[in-house]
Amino acid sequence: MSDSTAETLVLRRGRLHDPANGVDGATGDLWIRDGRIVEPQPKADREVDLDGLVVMPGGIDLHSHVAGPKVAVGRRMQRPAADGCPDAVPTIHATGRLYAALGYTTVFDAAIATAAAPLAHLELAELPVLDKGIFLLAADDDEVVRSLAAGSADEVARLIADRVQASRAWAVKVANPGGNRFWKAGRRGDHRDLEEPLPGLSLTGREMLSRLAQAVADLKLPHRLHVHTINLGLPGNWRTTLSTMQAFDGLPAHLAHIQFHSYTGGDADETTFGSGVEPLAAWFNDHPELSLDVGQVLFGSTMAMTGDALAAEHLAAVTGVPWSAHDGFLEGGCGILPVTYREKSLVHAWQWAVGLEWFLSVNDPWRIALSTDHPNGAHFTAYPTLMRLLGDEAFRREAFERIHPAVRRNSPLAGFTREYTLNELAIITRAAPARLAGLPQKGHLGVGADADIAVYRPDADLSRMFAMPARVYKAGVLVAEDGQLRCSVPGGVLAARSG
Amino acid sequence: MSGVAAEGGERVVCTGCPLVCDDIVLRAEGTDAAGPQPFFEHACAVGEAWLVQASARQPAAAAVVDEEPVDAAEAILQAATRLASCRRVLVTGCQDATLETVAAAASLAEQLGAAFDAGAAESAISSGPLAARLGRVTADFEELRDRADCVLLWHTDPSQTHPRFIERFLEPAPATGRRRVFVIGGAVAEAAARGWTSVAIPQSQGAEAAVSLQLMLATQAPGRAAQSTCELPPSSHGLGAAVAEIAAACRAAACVGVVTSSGAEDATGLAAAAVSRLVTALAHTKPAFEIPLAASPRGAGPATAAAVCTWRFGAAGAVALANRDGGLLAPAEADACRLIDRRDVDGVVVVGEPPAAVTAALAGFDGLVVALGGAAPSTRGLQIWIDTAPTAVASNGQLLRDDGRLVALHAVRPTARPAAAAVIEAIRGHLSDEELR
Repeated sequence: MSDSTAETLVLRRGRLHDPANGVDGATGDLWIRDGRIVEPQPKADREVDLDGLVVMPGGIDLHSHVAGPKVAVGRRMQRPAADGCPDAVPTIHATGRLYAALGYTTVFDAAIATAAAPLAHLELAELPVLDKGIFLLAADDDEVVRSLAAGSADEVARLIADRVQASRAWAVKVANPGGNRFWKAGRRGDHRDLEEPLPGLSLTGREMLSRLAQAVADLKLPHRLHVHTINLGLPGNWRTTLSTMQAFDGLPAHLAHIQFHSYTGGDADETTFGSGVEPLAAWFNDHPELSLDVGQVLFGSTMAMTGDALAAEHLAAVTGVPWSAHDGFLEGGCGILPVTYREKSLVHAWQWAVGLEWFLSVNDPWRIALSTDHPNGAHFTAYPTLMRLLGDEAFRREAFERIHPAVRRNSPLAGFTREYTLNELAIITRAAPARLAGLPQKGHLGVGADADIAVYRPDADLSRMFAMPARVYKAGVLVAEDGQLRCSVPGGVLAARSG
Repeated sequence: MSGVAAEGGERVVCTGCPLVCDDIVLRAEGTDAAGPQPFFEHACAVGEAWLVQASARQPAAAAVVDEEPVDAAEAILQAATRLASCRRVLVTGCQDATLETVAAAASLAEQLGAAFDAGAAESAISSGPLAARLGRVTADFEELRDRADCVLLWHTDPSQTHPRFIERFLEPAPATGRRRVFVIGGAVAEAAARGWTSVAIPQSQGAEAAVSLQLMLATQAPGRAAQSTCELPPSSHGLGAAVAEIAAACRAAACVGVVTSSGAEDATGLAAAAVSRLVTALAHTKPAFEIPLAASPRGAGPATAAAVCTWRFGAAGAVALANRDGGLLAPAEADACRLIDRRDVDGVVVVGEPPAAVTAALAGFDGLVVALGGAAPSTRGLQIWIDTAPTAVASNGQLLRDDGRLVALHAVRPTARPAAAAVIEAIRGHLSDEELR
């Protein structure tokens, strides 16, 4: 039976992990009324005993792909899932159900074109339970690109503000800055750098990034510019990723699925493919204005989908898999294709190791968000496995021993013994995403916070612990229990107002 | 968007075909012996007739049950009562429905445990699941107009299903200034006058031609390892010369657009798959895309319903059981025509005008047919028809053009006729009543 928001609910004696408020496992009570966490009340209408259970804020997925036209194509392209396994690209209802059952209460779709925003919102309106928002691919909009080329900061800001408002977006995303202009001009698969002007314009990728970041900062949007940089997936791309980080020159920016942008190597020889994390992490750790999500790869089959048409085509060409793409009018495009990551594949094993290396190399967990760039790196239901890989060094080592031997010999991952604590896991899955997204009322358990709460049974096996929360509350309503959806409340739409 | 004021008139969206032209202007109404008549500027003949019909006065009866006129409320109750006692129901049609209407229809299907077929292209061919998994490289219509300097009309005459397609998207010059158009098989009116090249490849050789062309075009893409080229043997069923000319044009082009149509002649989908593979292969080397046109005889086509079905059920149509947690695309089992022909269903809910094949199948169907809007299909047995507001000119909402672009509708001629979504919700309300469960 669900708990009504009108009554006063108290969750007693849980072990609270609330990093935003400095609480690391202390036993305490949570009082809930009208969908919010409130001060202790004289009496409660209902009490729930959480003695011995771990309590965290609801999970927040800062970078996922759950709605819109390219997700629809992904649903149509995917093979039927094996019995008992979720579809790689679930229906919109199943997506909400699965996230809620996992303890997640907020999700952002990280790449929606401006023309697709109304349709995406119609679809997201059917996403149960979760609060949701979209990141707008405003930098693919032709008029925005031309204004960036003209260099008028006021005009850029005005256009972006208009589009964010009209699209009810939360943030601005740039996917492969200028990439779609290269794509439509006939470029295929090759590396480029940030200094190359876009076809037909005097604007470089570097200028796009810095001007966009400035516009987002000027507009005081709640989340910084969200950046999928150039050369995704290409060997040797760590250099352009470093150039990307440097392009911001002190402006805040968020680097999306950094794992896919952190490789050494060259085109001619696959065996030179490797980890470029070390120099990137060094720069990142020294520049607090930057944040990132990892885009961890986990082994298995999934669907890749991206607003980076160039990257998708190249991957399809290299792997020979079926591929879909669509070019939008006066906008960018997208690419969708099936992917299977294998432990014994040299490239896939490196990708897996590079992602984990990132998690273990970042000094400040408040600047990193856990993600698999669902579904590109792995399904979001695999997050518990990823959390165990981070929190259980023995488990990580066992997995490491199964991957390609060349990666075992050469990956810096072998030298990492760090284990994420429960509090650090709470940071990268809730507290940090909330802070990075600009959601002061989420990601913590303090008075005034949204009563989005996940309750777990402690278990030495972290994947088992996080795979099936005992209880999940959304705005104080019990929505999931032991992996089952109990109540399908409608979530809210997170839409930014520019300042 | 319709309803926006245009100088001297009101902007209207035409839903007479899947082109969903949104540049129609309803001008001051002239008069004739029958009274005031609207004038729709820019509309084609099909669109004009469609919009005039949509603007027409309400029919004499709001609803018909068992060939007797009744009020809508009675018909809605009858529909719910009879649907509740059906063994298995199919929900279909939605060829001219807004996203909101389709969402309501999908909810009805779930409530009834019904099958749902929105008439998407891959729903009608047995290889539909494979076709969907093969993928496609496509583009908005305007991308064809602005960028494609070589266009192949692959066994399709767009004017038959999308009357203004040529005028709007092929006649304007692309950025390169000149466009070469090949009409492959069939006949397109005034092709010669337009300077288009007709290539006599029969439909029966469509798949072979696509494969041949793909082989001829296999070439070295920048930055990729060289692929071997292939020359067809001279006696390759006579296709060699024809395909060679097309290949030469494609090689020389900056951007290639291939316009196709989901036709009944390609029952297995082999030809369609071959063309999709051709375009995909070409797109790996240069800008190229397919423009698949729905073969919808009337109405805005299946794109809208396909979108809702996909996000709701995981498949664009031919879902055996409407389930929001997902369902299999099963054309051999859950295609509307097959379900009707095999009597796998004993009740059919038709939203708006169904595709012609479904209309034909329903002609021999003796189960329950609940038709919402459109013209009532004829059956030997029970029949319920409930009038609803036409999508064009009289409805608010949103729907998708054939290429997936969202178009907003505004009722410029509001009507007392109920919206289809409202009728569906009313039926659902009765189905929830204790007495019917």
